[in-house]
Amino acid sequence: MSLRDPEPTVYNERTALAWQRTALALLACAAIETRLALAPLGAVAVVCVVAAVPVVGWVMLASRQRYRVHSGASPTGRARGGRAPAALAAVTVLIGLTELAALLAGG
Amino acid sequence: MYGDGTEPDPRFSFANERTFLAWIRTALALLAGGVALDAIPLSIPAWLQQGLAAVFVVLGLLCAVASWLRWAQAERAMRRAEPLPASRIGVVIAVGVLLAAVALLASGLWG
Repeated sequence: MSLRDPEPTVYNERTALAWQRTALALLACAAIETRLALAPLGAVAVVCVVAAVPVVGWVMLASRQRYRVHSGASPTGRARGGRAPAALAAVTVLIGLTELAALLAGG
Repeated sequence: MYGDGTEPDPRFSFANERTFLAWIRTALALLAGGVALDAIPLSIPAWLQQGLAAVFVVLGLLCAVASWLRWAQAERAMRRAEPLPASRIGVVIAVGVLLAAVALLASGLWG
């Protein structure tokens, strides 16, 4: 009986899980920031959640698809792309800028 | 970027992505620290509390941008079989958090 190297499967799974927990953390931060920034900024604060929800949903679906492609379960589909990192970084920056605006408005 | 060079070992790309995601979570933690300093009333001067909150938020912003740049530079270097780029964002964050913590501690002890 030959032993297959488990590492490729492990790396694939670890990466998919990392994407998903980062996306969930981002959603939680966006929701909390929106809630706390409503008082100083008003309805503008909703931009955090409005931007985060579709990005998080897309990252969750894309990470699952990438996992299936790399594991061989799905024969087609694009395995990798650079848009997801940019989208996560952009929403994180948006949350930070919203909080800076809330600090300035509240101060 | 993905049209440049040759496809690296997937494990290295996976590791690069996980590093990027860890930095993003660090950025979110810094932002959360800034939000907490803004939201929770403390027995320190208001100007200091808001200033420290702004410091943490700015550190979080820098961390998010630097993490994405670092991810792209590392991916490109792997595809070109070049040395991985150095990253100084860790030092910046460590110094920033240390200074903010010292200021907060000093204000609490002698404020």
